[in-house]
Amino acid sequence: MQEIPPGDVTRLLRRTAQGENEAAERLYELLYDHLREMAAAQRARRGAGDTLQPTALVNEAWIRLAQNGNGEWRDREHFLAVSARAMRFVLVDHARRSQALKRKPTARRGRLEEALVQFEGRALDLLALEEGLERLTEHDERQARVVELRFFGGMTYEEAGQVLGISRATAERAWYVARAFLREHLDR
Amino acid sequence: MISDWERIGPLLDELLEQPAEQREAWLQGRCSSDEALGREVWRHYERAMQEDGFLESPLTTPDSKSARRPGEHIGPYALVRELGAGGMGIVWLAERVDGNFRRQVAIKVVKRGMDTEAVLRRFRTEMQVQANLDHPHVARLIDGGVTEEGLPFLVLEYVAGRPIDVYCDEEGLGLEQRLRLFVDVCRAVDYAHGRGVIHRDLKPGNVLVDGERNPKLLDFGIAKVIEGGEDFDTLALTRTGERLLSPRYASPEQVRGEVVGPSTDVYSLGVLLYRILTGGLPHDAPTTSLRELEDRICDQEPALPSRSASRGPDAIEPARLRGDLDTLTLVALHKDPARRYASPAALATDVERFLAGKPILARADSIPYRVSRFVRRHRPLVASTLAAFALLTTALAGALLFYFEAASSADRLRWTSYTASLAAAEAAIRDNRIGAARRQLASAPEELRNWEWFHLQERADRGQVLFDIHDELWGATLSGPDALLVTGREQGAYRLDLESGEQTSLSVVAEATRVTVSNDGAWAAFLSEVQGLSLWDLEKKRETFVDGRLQRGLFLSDGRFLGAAQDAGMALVDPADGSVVDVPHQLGNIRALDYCRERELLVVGTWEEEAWILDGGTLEPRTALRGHEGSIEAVAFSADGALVASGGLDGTVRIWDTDDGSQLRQSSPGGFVTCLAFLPTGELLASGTGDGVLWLLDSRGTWVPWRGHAARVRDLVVDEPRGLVYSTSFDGTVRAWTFDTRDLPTFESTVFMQALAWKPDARQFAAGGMDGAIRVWDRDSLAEEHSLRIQSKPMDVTWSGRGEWLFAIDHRGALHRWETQDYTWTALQEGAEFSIDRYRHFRVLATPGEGALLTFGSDGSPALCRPDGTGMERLTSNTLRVVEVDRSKEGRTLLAELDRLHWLDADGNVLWSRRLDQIPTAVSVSPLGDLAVVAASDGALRILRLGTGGETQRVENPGGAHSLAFHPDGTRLAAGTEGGDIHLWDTESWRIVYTLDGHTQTVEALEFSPDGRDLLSGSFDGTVRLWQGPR
Repeated sequence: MQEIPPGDVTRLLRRTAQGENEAAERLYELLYDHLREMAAAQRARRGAGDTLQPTALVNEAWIRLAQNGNGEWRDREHFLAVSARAMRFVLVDHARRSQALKRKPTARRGRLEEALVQFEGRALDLLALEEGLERLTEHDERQARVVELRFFGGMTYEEAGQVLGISRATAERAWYVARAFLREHLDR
Repeated sequence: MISDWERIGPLLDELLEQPAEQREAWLQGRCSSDEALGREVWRHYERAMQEDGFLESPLTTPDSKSARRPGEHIGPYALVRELGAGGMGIVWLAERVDGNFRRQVAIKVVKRGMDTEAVLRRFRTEMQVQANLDHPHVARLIDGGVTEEGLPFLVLEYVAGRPIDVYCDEEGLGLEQRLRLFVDVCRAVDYAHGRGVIHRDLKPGNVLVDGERNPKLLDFGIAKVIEGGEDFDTLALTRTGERLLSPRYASPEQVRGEVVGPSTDVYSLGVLLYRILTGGLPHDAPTTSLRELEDRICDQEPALPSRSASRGPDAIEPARLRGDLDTLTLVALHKDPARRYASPAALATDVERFLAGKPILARADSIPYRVSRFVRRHRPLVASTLAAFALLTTALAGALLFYFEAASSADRLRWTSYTASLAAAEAAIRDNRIGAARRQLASAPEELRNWEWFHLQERADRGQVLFDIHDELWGATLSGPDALLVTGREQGAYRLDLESGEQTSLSVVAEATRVTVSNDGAWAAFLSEVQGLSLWDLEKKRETFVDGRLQRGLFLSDGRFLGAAQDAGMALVDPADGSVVDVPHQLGNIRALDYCRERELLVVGTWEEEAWILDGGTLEPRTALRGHEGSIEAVAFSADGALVASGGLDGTVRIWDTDDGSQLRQSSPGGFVTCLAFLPTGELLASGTGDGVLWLLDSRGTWVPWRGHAARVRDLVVDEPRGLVYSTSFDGTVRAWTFDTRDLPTFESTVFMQALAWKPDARQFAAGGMDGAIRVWDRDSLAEEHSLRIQSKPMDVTWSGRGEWLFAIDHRGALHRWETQDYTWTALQEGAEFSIDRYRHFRVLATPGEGALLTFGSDGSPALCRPDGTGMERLTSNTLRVVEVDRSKEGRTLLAELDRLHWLDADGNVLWSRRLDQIPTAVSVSPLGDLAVVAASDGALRILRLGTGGETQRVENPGGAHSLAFHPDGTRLAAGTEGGDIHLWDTESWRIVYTLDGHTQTVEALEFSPDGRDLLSGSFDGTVRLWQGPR
């Protein structure tokens, strides 16, 4: 597996935290690649049937990336935010490819794939959701971010609020407004 | 594109800001001019609030089919309700039901689908951390395992408590109560540090206080383990996805993401203290954002607690925090880890010093750099080294040491082998391996043996050996007032004369395991598992009756023998004519019997796990005693017959009410129980474990070991007239024990014990506690003889040179005196009102005559007075702020101020003075009057030559020293630490030869008995301990 220089991650995280979009992009890339490779590596080791949550993979990735660095206490939450986005990209990408390949089933899938298939079972049009999120971002980026952090990152209102620098109540309102928007969008 | 969202979105947002019940009306008012828009917004509002789970279930949350539910089992535990959940694990309240016994536990289990390798590794580490911690204030690890689907789980003690801050406020605790609670927390954290574990997430939610006001430390989920100097950083990473750590209790180095050490916990304890003192947090303002909070933690000095306290609970007066508590809190919260308290114990000690009215050691911004202490205090390494030694013979240990220390001198080797033998002996005593302990002691180089060796010897060899017979001894009974009948494997039986010590063999049935004698002393029944009953006419010294079936039994008050057989038969034998009457019964296989003459009752214990109380005359069963889970091998009535004790193969001892058969108590000394005896004191003695230790269930319900026998004890006989219990053992000895035998006698109070004094004849000692009582104990009986009450808190006590008077000085400076004939009290001198904001150090010491030396703290000087309280004279004209003092036999006085040391002759003339670069914590003058030892806040002992005041040596006392005492012969110095250890120093080589381990908090007072036999210690943990030396 490709090793990511630990210093890179730390640096990128800090720069992301400071609002450098380019750093964030680079980080997503790193994380995205890493996740895919991990999924591939695990394909051989773990048997099919046991399901691992996608977020568990993200965590595993985070641990591996950060363990080599030192003292990531502060950056952990930024990583969470970043990983939520990475997760979103991974899932959407997967959905796109699935659509393109018309879902050619493979006999043995990696755990990520496994989890993604499970996710598809939720009867949610991920691509439509992605489109909705992009639209929502045009209206109100913060609302879209709250959805990202909660839905893809599994955060509470409070945590999402902390990452975005807003109160819990504001985060909760943003969530409901975004929900109304996305529901409307998906119903079309 | 959703039409009009530019208008709808903001309106919806605003709508949600309104209280739920007013929203509809608010929207109507807002959109009165555009009702269509209003309707559209309302439609979106309803859709937003619709509870159909849309987007609600984030990807981290396992879907419903993998969630656990109440009632589901994990291992033998039934889940009750969820206590908390994180990204990786869930904590459940669960119950284990064993028969009628219900036990609540907390189970932490990995979420399904979250079992990545890192998480599993993390779980293993947490289990190891927890398994290593066994402390009354740390939630215990009870069990652990793997679920059916292969997910690991931890079973932890469930603490039904409230977070410490909530508890303090809801219970309305006062300042002192809060501080005491806090000290307990510090001690628990310090204990974990001692085991190499840093908690890193100390906050009120992880410090729960139960209904009995016991704080418990929880959640070592992100603890860091330091092992052999290496960091095994298990880091918080595995909590990703879990709720983010609130930085409110985090240290600057944690916020900055730097390396985290033990001082991080000290910081968090500081925040905790700040919270319970003021009700607020050092860096929190209601509107603070995360980023702002982090910046403040790193850069801003917190407000003084006394300033913030106005917002706090009513119970605490801000004025009481001013000064020492301000300083103490801010030192704990220092930005620079190296400038904080060196350990949680050091912080606890300063809080205790504050509570005791002593000057605190911390000075804002001048705390000494003592980070390396953590490593030195680090126990596991030391413990494992000692454990290794315990397994080795001393010769081998010596050889190994020689190999490792080839360069060292023979002297050093000898010392090392001595201390290793002692440490190994101590470990063996703790494990109840008495034989091994004796071997270790025997191998210690003779020329080095001193007080500590005798102390251990005493602990390993309690109970006087009355007879040493080369035979495995079994049953025993009194035969008349002055003789014991004892059975043995080889010889059959022995008659042992308690007066003359004469020992006679009796050729009785082989391998009799039990013996009992009739009331009139005419008959003895020997009982063998193989050969059955053999009745002896003791006068004619011959066997008169044999019954092969009966293996157990006793004489009833009518003189007949009641025997029980293995096949569940029972028979009455009349020894006079040898007639036998079978007694039918349904009780099963009777394994043990006892008879109560007072009430004519019989109790039997059976293989069927039941005990029965029978009528002693009719032998009709009256009451069943049920609850044991193994054969009942021992039963005993209390002297008045009101209680029955039973014990057996389930390892429990149970005490029952004779009348209604209800179980009053259940307890376990550890191991099988095969004999039991009530002492006249009402306490219960049990034995049966294979290691030879007798266990006394004392009046407080704790099991006290009586160590002396080197192998299993087989029988117990109470000799009330002589005040002794005899025990027989496979080791071939009969030992006699006094009823008050105690290993490491401890005298408990609920408050600090800081004032101690031995009477000059060494027969009594006195201790003053903060509860306003001065207690006087008898050294031999260990009984409390007097409890002398004064109106305030005693700071010090002393006996006059000839023991006629007992003096005490209280914390207002008032002097009290008792005549030791009848303990009549006289107030000698009035004190001033004492305020907790200022300390004064009051001490009273005997002078060579009959008078007393008094010292005063911040605003006074030492003075001398006569025993009638008159003739009060200042010792010196200077005003001294004395914090520590000691006196030589010749009446010279060593006085320590915060920064100076003075040596005064008997007339108060200053012989020399010298500066101290650290705050003194204890001083002591050697018995020969040649040396002074000054302990200071840097943890070092400074050895000074009294003639010149010159420092000859400086040695480190691990854990600091808060009390010092020379042995009367001058060869040993005892130094009490803030962690509760007492180090014994050899005063020639200045090395620590042994450490007395028992106190759990700072040892504040130490004194050897004037005859040098025992050492007395008093601690902030509320106990006085007597460390017994050679008898």
